[in-house]
Amino acid sequence: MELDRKSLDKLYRYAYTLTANQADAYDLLHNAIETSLNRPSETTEKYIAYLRVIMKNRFIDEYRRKQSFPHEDIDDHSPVSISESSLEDVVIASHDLAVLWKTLEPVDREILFFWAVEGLSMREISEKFEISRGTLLSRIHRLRKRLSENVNGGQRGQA
Amino acid sequence: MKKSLKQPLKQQVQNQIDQVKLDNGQFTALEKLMANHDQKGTKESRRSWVPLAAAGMFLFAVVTAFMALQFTKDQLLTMPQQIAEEVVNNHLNLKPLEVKTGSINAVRGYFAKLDFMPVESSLQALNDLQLIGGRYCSLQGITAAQLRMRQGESLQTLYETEYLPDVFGDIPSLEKGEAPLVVYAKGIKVNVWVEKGLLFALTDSPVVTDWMENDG
Repeated sequence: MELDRKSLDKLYRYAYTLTANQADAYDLLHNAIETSLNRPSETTEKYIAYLRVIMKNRFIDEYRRKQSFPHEDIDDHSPVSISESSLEDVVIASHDLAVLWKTLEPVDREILFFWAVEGLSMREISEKFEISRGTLLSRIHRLRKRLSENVNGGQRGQA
Repeated sequence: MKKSLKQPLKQQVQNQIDQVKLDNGQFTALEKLMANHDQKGTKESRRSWVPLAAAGMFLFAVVTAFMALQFTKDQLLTMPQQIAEEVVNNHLNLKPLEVKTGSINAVRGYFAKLDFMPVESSLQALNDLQLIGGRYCSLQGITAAQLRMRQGESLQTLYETEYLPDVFGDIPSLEKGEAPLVVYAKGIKVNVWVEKGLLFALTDSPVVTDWMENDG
């Protein structure tokens, strides 16, 4: 099955979300397409979904082999309020985001990708990750804290 | 230094991701990769259609009708056959175990990085099998737990992975009262079924592989 440039770019962006590196993202996508060639797919959507699953699993496998896959307990149920766990009101400069992007954990980059690019709601993201909404909100709370700390830290550094 | 403008995070993430695009060289290489495979497939199918075309439109209609009738059945068989072949290849390879234990809890502890928890199946055939260990593996590109079981003097391989219908297609479910699908690969019987949200594939190999106990 052939994919158009728009679909390939979309997959490449997802690979970049996982790897935070464009060269690694291309390798991951190339590898996934190679793996998928002998498996017929009924529709383009199913083929794209399959490629995404392959890329995610390959990425996890690769990092596990390097023993550097950042494994953090996702089941952190520390109580946080909804306002503390919303990303809607966070503002950031593009330069700060570009710097921070590479230091975020892959799972946090994925959350941002599904939220900002794919337009998924928090409920849909929690279903995708198969975690409770509370767990996701705790994670977002930490992510939000980290974003503001880095931005403020950066500003202090520049002052 | 010019300071960039602050904008909502959502907008900034979109901007950053939108900038990521395949360059022309990369796009051409991926297009070629897919086209080469498609061309191979087309050539093969063209060859296979020549005798059918020669046989005339009537035969073509009969074959098409037959294929349409068999379509559902083929869909069921194609993916399980691929699963069976992958499982049997790895079963015959018997790569070293990463964890050696007879305890399912210890196995669960080892496979903590999987997106799912390995579970015990209620399939009767597993009653005679004794767990001896496992290793990380993959099935059709999906990360899986490969468990090794002892059955008398034989060793069997049990795969467990998250059941993704889009990837694996329709597989019989024990919970719906359906019997496991029996598929053969390289002469070895493989049972394939779905249970507790997981896909299982179990070899039923008569080969005595006692020497592997000392694999390491």
